[in-house]
Amino acid sequence: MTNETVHEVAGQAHEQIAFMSPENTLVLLTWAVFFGLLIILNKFAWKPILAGLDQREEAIRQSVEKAEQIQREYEQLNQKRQQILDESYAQAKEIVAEARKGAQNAARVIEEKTKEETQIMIENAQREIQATVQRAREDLRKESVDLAIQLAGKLIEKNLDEKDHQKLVDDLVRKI
Amino acid sequence: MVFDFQNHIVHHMQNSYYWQLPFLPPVALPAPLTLHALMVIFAFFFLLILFCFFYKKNLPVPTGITNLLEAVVVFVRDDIAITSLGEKDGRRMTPLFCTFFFFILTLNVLGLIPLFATATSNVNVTGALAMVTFSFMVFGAIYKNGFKAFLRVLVPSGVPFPVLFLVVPLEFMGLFIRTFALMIRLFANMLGGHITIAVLIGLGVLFFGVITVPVVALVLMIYLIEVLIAFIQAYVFTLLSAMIIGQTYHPDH
Repeated sequence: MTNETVHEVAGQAHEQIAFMSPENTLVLLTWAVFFGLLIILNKFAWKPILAGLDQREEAIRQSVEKAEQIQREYEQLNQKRQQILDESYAQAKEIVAEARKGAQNAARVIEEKTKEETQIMIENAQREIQATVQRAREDLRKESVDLAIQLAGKLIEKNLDEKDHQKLVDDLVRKI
Repeated sequence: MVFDFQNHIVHHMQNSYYWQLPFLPPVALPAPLTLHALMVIFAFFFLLILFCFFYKKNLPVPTGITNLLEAVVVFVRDDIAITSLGEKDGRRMTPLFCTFFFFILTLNVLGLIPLFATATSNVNVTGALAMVTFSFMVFGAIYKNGFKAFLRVLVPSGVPFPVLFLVVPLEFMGLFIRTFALMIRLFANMLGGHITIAVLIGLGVLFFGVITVPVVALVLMIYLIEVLIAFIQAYVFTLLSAMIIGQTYHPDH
């Protein structure tokens, strides 16, 4: 902008209002606008904003309190959970110990019983063996006698009658 | 033709019945509308649109512009209103200070946008706003505490009787001086920045005949400072209003 053009522009506005002169219209307009703004904005802006802010502050305060309460409850629950867990561990340990003890007892009982049964079976078997041996001996003896009679008969070459035969057998048996 | 330096600066600051647009003849505003009045009306509609259409009330998690506006409202409520007036009065008067802050900020920032003017660099606008503060400071306090209690603002307790002859007039004058200071502070700050920019451009033109790059760089820096000042002055006006209203609402503190 040159010297001349600035001057030109300055000169164009013919009707200037003297600097710092009182302007009643402007004062009244400022008041009107200020109070108009105060009333309108109070209704549509300041009150809702301030109420909203208070509400939000209250909501935040409540949220923080609630969060703290939840934190406390969580800690309590956690403590309780830990306690229950500890108790459960202890109980489980106890149960396992008891079960182990029970099993050991049962095993001992079974072992003893088995031993007893085995002993009985052995004894039975021994008795049976003895009986069998006895019976075998008697059979052997009878067989031996019969054999001896037959041998003796053949040796004396004499047929004995039934009566003599019986007498002879009885005598031999008595002698043996 | 000699460059009229003073006229150039004053013209830039003055209120007028014309709206200067580039490449166009000045648009004549219908009486009694002036350029600064037009800016005040722009600010009115801008704030209405901003808060009624862009602000989303029912967002559970505010984002974007809603979040920004809420952050500012919370700042005004907690760090300006409640700090100066206490919990109960502070909350009740937050709408007033929010309106002060956003209205002044909008007028300040409007002035930084090319083609627009700074209404807060007009003493009538800042004076009107300061008078709002004054009315709350005096009539609001009388309405709240009663006239007797308001007199305690002028007659502080615990002051020896002879000293009261000095203190009472000073306190009485203080009410007006504080309001006057409020008016001048905003007006002068907003005017000062613009004068600086106008002077720098004017000097550039005066010495070099054209606008040069260093001048533009310098002006840009001042402009950025002005953006900061626009926010600071809106904050300062609101904070000081809250403080002086707080002083008369709670004279014992």
